[in-house]
Amino acid sequence: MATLLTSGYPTYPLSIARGMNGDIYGVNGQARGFRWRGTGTADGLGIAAPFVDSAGVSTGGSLTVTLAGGTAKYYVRAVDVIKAGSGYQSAPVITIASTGTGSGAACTSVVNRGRLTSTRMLSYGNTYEATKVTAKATFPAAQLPGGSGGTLTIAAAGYVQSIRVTTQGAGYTSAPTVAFTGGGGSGATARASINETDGVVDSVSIVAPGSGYTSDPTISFTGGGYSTTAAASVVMSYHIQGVTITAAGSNYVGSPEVTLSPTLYAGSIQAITTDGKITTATITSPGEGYPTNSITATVSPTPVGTPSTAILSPVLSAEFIGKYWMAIRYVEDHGDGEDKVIASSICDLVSVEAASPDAGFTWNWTDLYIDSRVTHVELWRTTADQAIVLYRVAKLAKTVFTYADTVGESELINPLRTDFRVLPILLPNGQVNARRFTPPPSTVSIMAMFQERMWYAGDSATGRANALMFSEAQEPESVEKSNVIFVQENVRGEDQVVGLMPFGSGMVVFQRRHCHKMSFVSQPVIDASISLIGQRGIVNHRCWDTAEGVAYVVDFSGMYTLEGAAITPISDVIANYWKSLADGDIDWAYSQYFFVRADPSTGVVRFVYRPKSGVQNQALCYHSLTKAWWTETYGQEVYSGGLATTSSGTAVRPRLLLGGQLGTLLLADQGYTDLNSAGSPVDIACQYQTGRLPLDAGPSRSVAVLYRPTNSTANVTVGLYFNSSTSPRLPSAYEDDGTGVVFDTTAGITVDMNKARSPLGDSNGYASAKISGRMDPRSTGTDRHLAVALSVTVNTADNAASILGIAIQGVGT
Amino acid sequence: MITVDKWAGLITNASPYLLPPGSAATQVNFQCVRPGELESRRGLSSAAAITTGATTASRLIEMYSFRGLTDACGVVVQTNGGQVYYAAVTVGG
Repeated sequence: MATLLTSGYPTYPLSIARGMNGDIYGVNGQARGFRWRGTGTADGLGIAAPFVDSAGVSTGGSLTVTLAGGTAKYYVRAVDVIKAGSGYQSAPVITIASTGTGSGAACTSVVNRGRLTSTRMLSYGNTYEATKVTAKATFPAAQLPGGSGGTLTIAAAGYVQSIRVTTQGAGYTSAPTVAFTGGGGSGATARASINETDGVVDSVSIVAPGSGYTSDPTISFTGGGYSTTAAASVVMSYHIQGVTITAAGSNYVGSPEVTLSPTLYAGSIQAITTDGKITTATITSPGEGYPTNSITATVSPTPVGTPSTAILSPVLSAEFIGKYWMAIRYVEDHGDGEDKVIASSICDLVSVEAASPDAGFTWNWTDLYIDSRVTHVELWRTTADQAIVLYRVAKLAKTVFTYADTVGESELINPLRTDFRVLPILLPNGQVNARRFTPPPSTVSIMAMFQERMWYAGDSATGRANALMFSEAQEPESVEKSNVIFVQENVRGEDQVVGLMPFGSGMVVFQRRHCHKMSFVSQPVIDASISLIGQRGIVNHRCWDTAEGVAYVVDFSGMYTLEGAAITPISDVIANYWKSLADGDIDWAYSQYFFVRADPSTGVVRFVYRPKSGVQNQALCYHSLTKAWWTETYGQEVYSGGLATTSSGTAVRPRLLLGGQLGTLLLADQGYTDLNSAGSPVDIACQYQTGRLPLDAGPSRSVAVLYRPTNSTANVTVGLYFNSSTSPRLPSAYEDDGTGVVFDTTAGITVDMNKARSPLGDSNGYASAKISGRMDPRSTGTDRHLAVALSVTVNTADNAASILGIAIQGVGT
Repeated sequence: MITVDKWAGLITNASPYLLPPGSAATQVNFQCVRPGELESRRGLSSAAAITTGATTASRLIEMYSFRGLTDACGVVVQTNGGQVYYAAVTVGG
């Protein structure tokens, strides 16, 4: 069961290609091409602009746009600061209010040293009325009286400044050793002095003050022969080593004052605030000589003057004033993604001028023909007094034909608006943009996808035989009229483009008698390069295929290969099929149906054609490995070929499909029979005949066949054609030596390849028969040449033939 | 005596009296796809029938195969009557 996609493409084979978006396209030059999205039925190719058909002929519709009239509408373009006010500890909220219509305007403010210095619009709003809009800045209630709650913690460090003896002790006969312990620092050393007369410690002097003490160290005395130990205390000198923010507080402004205790030791801290909170505290002076490590910091509230409110003034701009250009276009949008939306070109631009502020526009349009692919209509408009960039106003169902447009200037360019889209009429380099969505002409008959663009050719319109049209990148259906380059007209006779073949880094453009390589970098109109490869062409757009990097092409002179830019003829040995008027076998009257298919799974390249007497069931076959040619005759006519690449979800090797004559897709190399024109299985008749080999004068003549044994009877008939006879001659003598040869007085020599027929069994069979023939070089009436023919009919796996060799005794070379 | 065990395929653009051993004046449905062997070709079997309802399509004059919508291979075919069909084709390896 198949799905009917479309109709109306009789007689001439389509050129079919698949776009990068997965859609499938086809053209055959007889009608508008088709596009199939992979679901449902196919549609016509491309969408014509409003009011014209796909050929560009007017359908009689039109677009009119008028001013709506009524109360003019405005948007808030800015909020001017008339008076900056004072006492703002943070940016106040700006309230834009209207006593009439309009909404949506919003802005923020900037405060510097308590003053509101400027505003910045967040959104412009719309439909405001003149003189009915106000703006004001409100003091946040929580920002007075100037900040609180901020606390800082001070870390101190110091050294030993001096030592005071508190108990002199007794009985010292020598000076004791002084030691410092604790306090977190290091390096402090001191020396004690005694009064030898009284036996007491007189004083202790500092040798080294040490450093890094975060608290007071303990001092002790050892040794000196005392009876009562002495005691002493240290006098420290601290400074500020660090400061941390314990609490950020709130509502501070700028840099609030920080007071340290104890005072008088020259330390200072700077606190910096952001949005009312202390965010940074730095030591501006560490101080010196603090007698204690307990230093406290107090953050004072910011002194604030008497606040005064800023005065603001909204600035309005008219939504609709000036000259505008409008257009509509059609789109196909099935809701499956923006990249799947197909658009038409815009219609001719319509202009409307509002000499004074207005309330909007009224759009009306009629169209007598809207393509079935169209789902929506889009309305596009410029901003005032420019005709360069269009903005989408609205996207409507295709059944709508009027629209009240109140989308003001500010909203039109608002990228957050749902319908917002931008469409430059021309690109900066001058290329057409809004009108680039032109469908390809219905007169093109060839297409191919190459480097993100769909290429079209084979245009039957006058003077377009060598036109090479191309779509916009990733828009296969958009073929703007200037997207065309021409293949060189060849001297001494007109030629025409009949085939396109993407091939490596370029695309081969085939004419009937020439082939060219076309390549481009980014924009074909600017940088495409077309160079002649050679003077070989192609029969039609289906007479090429590629395998293992080699293209096989058939033209009116034969088959040739194309590797890079190298042309190599390969059919010279059978050139008479093409070139001989006498025995050429190709009926060119049906050449539109000929095709070439390479079967990558077997390496066989087939050129399917119609012989002069017969139907299109013949193929000239070439094998890329053995370089050998043969012919194939099929049970029914075949007209097309393709490759089947999948099987029940499992990737398998590609298989050759052929399009038969009964609506049947035929799988090649499957089974051992063909389907005939009635759809019934039919045997495959295989024939082989040597050239006419010269007989020699030797006395013995025989023919032997080396074969692979079959599982059942498989008779190979060996025909003997003497001289130039087209009828085989029965041998006058034979010998059945048990190797498989039988003799039939009607059929002649027959070799039964059945493994059971020969004592050789599964080994390769070798069957030999003696044959007759007269040879006397002195006589004109004797035999001089012999051709040996083999024929076998196959219909099962058990009688499929595999011949390994023929030995003919009695002939020379 | 000559022995033919290298199958050179058809040579028809020369006199049959001049053909070297191994070449053929006639070779129909015998393939030379493996050196040293002359094999009968395999058959053509039905992979899919293009029908819509009771209507059977006629000559399939063009086809385009691609990775199908389901597991099968997708084929778009054109008949000589001008109809374009889609069919899913499942083939074996």
